[in-house]
Amino acid sequence: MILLAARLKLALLRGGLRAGPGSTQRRVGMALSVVLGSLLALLGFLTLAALRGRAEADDATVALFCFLVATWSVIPILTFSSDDLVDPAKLALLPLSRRQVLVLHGVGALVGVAPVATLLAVSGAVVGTSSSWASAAVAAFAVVLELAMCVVLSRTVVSALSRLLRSRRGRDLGVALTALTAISVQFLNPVLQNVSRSAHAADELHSVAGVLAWFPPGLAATMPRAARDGHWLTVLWHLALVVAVLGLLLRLWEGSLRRAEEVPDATTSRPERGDSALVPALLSRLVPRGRIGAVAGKDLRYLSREPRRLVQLVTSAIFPALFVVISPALYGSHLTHGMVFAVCGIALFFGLQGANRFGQESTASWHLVAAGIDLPNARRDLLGGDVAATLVGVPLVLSAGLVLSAVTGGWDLLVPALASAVCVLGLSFGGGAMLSVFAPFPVPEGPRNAFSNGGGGQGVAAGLLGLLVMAGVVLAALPMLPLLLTALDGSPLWLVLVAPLYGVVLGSGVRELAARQWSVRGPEILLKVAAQR
Amino acid sequence: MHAVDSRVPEVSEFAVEVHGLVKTFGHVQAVRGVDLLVPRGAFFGLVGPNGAGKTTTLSMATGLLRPDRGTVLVDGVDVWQDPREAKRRIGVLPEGLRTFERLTGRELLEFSGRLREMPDGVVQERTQELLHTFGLVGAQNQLVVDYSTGMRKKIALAVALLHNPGVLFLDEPFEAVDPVSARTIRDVLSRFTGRGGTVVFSSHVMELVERLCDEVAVIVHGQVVAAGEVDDLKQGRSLEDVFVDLAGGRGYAAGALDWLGTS
Repeated sequence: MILLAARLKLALLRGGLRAGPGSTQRRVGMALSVVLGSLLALLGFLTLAALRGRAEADDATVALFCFLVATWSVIPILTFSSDDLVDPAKLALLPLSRRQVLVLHGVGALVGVAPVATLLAVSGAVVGTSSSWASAAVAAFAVVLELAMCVVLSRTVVSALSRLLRSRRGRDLGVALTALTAISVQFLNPVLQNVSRSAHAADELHSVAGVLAWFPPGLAATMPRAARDGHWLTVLWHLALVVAVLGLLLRLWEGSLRRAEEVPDATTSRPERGDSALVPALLSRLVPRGRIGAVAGKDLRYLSREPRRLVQLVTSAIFPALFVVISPALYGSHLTHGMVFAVCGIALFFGLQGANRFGQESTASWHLVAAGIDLPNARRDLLGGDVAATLVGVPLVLSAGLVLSAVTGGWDLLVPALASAVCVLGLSFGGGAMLSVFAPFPVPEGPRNAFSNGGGGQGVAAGLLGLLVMAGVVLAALPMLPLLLTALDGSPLWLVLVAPLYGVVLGSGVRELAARQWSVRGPEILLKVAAQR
Repeated sequence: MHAVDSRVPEVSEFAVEVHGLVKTFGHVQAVRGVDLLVPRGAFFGLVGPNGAGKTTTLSMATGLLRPDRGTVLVDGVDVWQDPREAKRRIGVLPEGLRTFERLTGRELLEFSGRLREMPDGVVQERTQELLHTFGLVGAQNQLVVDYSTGMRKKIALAVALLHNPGVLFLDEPFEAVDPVSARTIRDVLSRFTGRGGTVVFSSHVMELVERLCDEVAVIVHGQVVAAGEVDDLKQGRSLEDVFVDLAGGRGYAAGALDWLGTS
């Protein structure tokens, strides 16, 4: 059975590399994963091995063990569709006992680039943390336990989520998680650089490892140290705990496999939502009635239900986090004045999310055209979008301002920062509206990619236009800079009144131009965003 | 003056008048001078092979695609000169265009009603009735993206009917719809025409067109090659035979594929 499972998985891997549609992409993907896997395996192994004899070796082992188990539990959600053996339903029709299915899945999970790379990386612990044959044996055993935890936890997650992952909601979750992972990697980079440059890196690692050591992978990782120190009771105690956790996970896995086989998939059991009106009840008092409310309500609903919109929102929301992380790393101290620009940056990024709104709606904008887009209606359409964006954008900017003030201690800059941000928000809405009607472009419905904002070959052009509009907004905001600088010197009253007013009035003026264009060229805009469907 | 005149149109016997519609995409002339006269209260079928220009014609007739030339009058109102007034009289079910599928069925209806500035009470009342009629009450709180094809067609038709238009333009309303949903759609449309409403719809299903329609127009290569009452066109044959002949579908030589089925 074990051999059969291994051969099946190898056959699947080979089959994936055969010529056929998309084979080049798969081959490149495989080559990349082999290269990346080898690099990470080597990096992990050499890091742990190089720390041999140093106090950090134990902490690094704990961190790596925990990190890998966490990664293994998330990865299948991102790559669910790429491995045929991962989906429990694929084996449901075969006459196999549940035990055989478990073995098949387990062995299948052990064959591949990722498990081999994981094994190699954590094997560094055998070199790094052992001082005798006995402790080396314990370390080797811990390595095996670690791999088992990775595999079993990952498969348990897949089985538990397999119904969800085959549904539209699961795919949405995958799209959102992929994007957020990519974004968080951008964040981790400066953090890690900062930590590694810090003189107290070892202390920080030690305190983190102290917490992680209480988790099951941490318990396994601390076994070699206990063996080295001659604390054999601790070794046994940790071993018992880890084995118990593994047993529990196996039980959960088996249970979820049974449910995955027995319960029909999600396409036949449709998700229900509670009774809901177009405009969320919380905001219903703030949203006007009629057409403005229709567009605003729709936009608000989309913000939480369309993974791409959600990712866009989160991207701009974590801008302050980036600032908080990066500014001390770059300047060695908190940059208080920079906080004003950070809040404005959030406003700019968020405000421009309304750009290409008809492209983002794809051809669904026909509803608006069919209901009539005379000038008053065209105004309502664009204003409705701005109302929704304001209802989300203002609290976003406000909370960003509060957080950054608290972190940087620049409370006296909060008012100028917020005033400038509202100014930028108003101007960005105008810029977004202009791009929407004068340079609309189709947005492909990429099933797995939350970042696809421009169609094939149009990505570059779309990006350039976006930058151009961004530059336009910054230019339009420039006249407010002297006021801002005065305010930073301690007289914010002028700015409080003038800057937001300037931004909102100018932004509204630009929106009026855009409304005229939408009213006159609606069908042509619809045709442009429908291209390359 | 024109707009004021068209606001109080003379009562015409035709609900829809299409004259000389032309549309060119790049070098491809998709519609080459289409004329249609649809009598008030008629069930009017628009048939033609794939790529004949049916969708392009319907898009131009409903104000979604600007024609290069030609006029479209709905209840005597020019769709492109007085779109505001014309669009109040039109209900559309387009083909190949997306909808706001991240709204629930109920929310989509509320959205459509608000777009047309309809009073909330009326929207609520009609939404309830339409959901009930189309058998979508149980699915009203599901996102449209999770709907089946039949459910999507039904909610789209409900959206088209919500503002009580006089003329419905439906592009392939029965495409990929199961028999039960198709029956529901047919019943609703029959009731609509029975009360004086006019339906213009395109379809590939000749048997359906034959059974439902009073009049039919056959479009081939962007031109109307035949139009009139269904019985006049058929002249004792099946509509499918007539259609295939008009569309030039029997193009292969008599001796071709002689080997087929001889093994």
